[in-house]
Amino acid sequence: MDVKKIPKFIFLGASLLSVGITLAILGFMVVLAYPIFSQGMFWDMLIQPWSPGQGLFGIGPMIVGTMSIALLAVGVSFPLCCGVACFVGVLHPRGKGKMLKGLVESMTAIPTVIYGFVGIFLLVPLVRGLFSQGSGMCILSAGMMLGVLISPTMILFFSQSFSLVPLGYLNAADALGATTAQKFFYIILPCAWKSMVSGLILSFGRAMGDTLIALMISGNAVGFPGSILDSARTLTAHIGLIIAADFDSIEFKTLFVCGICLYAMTGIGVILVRLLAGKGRG
Amino acid sequence: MQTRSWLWDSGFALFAWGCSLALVGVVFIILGFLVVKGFHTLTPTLIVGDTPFWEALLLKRQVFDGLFPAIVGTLCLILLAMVFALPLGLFTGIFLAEYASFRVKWVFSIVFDILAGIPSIVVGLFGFSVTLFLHHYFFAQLFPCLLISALSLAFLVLPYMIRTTQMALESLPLGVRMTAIGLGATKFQNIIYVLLPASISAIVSGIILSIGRCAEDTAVIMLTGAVATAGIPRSLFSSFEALPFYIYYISSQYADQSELMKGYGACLVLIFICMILFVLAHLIKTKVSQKLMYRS
Amino acid sequence: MQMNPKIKIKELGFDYNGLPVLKNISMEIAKNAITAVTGPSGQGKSTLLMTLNRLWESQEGANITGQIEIWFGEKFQDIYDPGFSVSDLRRRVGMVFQMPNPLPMSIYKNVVFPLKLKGEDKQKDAAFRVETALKKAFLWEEVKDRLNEDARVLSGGQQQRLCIARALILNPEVLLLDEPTSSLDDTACQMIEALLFEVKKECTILLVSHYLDQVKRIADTGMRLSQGQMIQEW
Repeated sequence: MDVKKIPKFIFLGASLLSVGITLAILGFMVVLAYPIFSQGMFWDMLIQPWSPGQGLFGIGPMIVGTMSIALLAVGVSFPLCCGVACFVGVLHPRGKGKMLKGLVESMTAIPTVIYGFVGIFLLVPLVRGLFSQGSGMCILSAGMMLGVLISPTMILFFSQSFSLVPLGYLNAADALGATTAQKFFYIILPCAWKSMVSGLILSFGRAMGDTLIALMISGNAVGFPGSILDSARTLTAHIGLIIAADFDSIEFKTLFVCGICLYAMTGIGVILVRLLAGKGRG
Repeated sequence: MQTRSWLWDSGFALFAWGCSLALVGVVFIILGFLVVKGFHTLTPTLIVGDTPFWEALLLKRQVFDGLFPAIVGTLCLILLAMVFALPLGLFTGIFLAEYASFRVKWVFSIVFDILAGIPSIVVGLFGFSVTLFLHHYFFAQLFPCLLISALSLAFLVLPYMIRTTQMALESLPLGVRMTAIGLGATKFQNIIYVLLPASISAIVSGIILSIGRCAEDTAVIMLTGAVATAGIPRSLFSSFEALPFYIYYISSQYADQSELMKGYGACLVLIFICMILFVLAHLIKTKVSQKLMYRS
Repeated sequence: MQMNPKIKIKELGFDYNGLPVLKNISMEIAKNAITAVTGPSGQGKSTLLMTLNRLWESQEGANITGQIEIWFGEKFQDIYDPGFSVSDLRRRVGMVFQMPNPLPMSIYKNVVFPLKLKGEDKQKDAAFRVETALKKAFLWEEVKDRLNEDARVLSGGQQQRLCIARALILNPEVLLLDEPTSSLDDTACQMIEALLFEVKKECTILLVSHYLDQVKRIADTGMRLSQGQMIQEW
């Protein structure tokens, strides 16, 4: 009898280990950021500027940097992805659309460091030349490149949402003489919008969590950015840059605060998506 | 009315076409830029520098000026990371698909969604801090190294492995899942003899995608042991080179044009590797759906 | 030959991926009458219906030859003429499917949907037109107090009558029905047969049906489709 239970315990053990790792990642950061919590500095840190000379180790500018680049990326990418998803899912589901979908799928294999590399040597000089202000390494460049990075996943997500609309509805609309645009706006969109919002949230999370593009293209200045042509630093790039500091210093501790912020942001995104999906089931 | 709906219809089609052309244009510009700039560097010298080709391959002589150490480093990383992630992810996926109750499944899948959403740099930060912690208090000889990087990468791809295994098992038709049980097999026998072999293609395709993820990641390895020059990794506890890190490093630290050109070449090599893995995974997945079609 | 044909089909051929489905069909369909199409499964009955409202055009690999003309206004018009709008055709040739397919909206919104496609749903007479259509479909009394409820709470028979009302609201001149009662019980079936009897006074009806007794009950003309070819029976 006992022998039969062994596999179950092995599999259960593996699962618990996996869950444990997820929680440990958060736990480790909370524990290591403890000195900051104990001195009551956590919430202040989220809004203060970064100015070590004045003893200020706030990650406010980094939060603003992350949000603005991610928002720009999603803002640029969303309409584009809607258009491509319509092409692939609604207008030309066979033939041309299939080819384009294949191209989009293969785009998901392109590493982010490649986008960063091309960004530095192609996009940044372009922006620098166009806007003869600043070095070209700014929120605009990083946002645009990040938009390209997150597009393939968003497109595939959207076109999958479109394909889940029941065939009966589409047949009814066709038989009643609806044009393609009418079919999309009156039938497909109302059915698929919840799923599309989930995709949007997940892509936003992905944009917030990317490191290389921001690190390579956004300039990494520590001040609060004033415009999209300003250089900015994201939470992720900050971690990559400060990692060389002394382990016991306050600067190093701020990295864990960054980590907690990122963990929390993406975690909230996941929960939001779940809530959205849950409501749909009713 | 007729012209109004015609206007909407044309506008709709125009928008979709415009977006698609824009996307295709951007992809071709990005890839074309790399090809144009880096194509001429695609020679054996790019990989092995001045060292004779076969001697470098058989590890007889060190390579100083080529991508070979970085490629080997990436391969070692992939291998090690999968050694950790594969069994852990497979077993967890099996548990979720076959043993977990509805509530447990629900809770666990939220946790794994969160794991999947954690930014890679945070995983790297975790790996780095664990290393430092252990170094401080237990193993003074422990530094960021191949082993730590591989473990951290394993954490990164773990959710993919779990999800792939779980979905592969759950999407098997009821007939396949219940036949052996009906003949008296235990749950474990069913899994080993029937379910896993039936879903092997989907799982393998997931493995390949995880491998691709390991090959392309930079943020994790940046913090846990990747360096610019280290040669072939000497042991599990040594630092190492990796292709994506090399690209990142070159982009900001290139000393002259020839080094920059090597960077372009490295980009092409990395894209090539990732594309091969992608096409492989795609072919295996298509083979699955063809097999299913013929079965029904 | 019919006295007053509404639809003239000349040498219609249809193949799908090289496989012939309809072979050289020529027939005339009488105006304001119920024409039934019977025959073994999978031999082209649904396809025949779809050639009349061009619904097959969203499928790949399909090919059509021959000519179909429908009497609209004062003359016969070739419905495959490039100048003839598909949307317009489908407003004049309505279709009801085998499985009821109410849209995920309220009962009212379902029936008013074709008006919405034309941009006429906000007009003052929209509600009246909805009521008329529901009355023609013998559904008004059952739903008049709950027009804002989701259409999917209705029973199968009610849903099918809803789909008929939705197809009738634009006063189509032709109504195509693809085995409309095969998923319904006897009572629902009888109701639909009764309403079709009324509808045919203003509309030419083409009905695909598996049930020979149904055909004998309500059809004016019966045709049998076997291996893609037509045999007239009565």
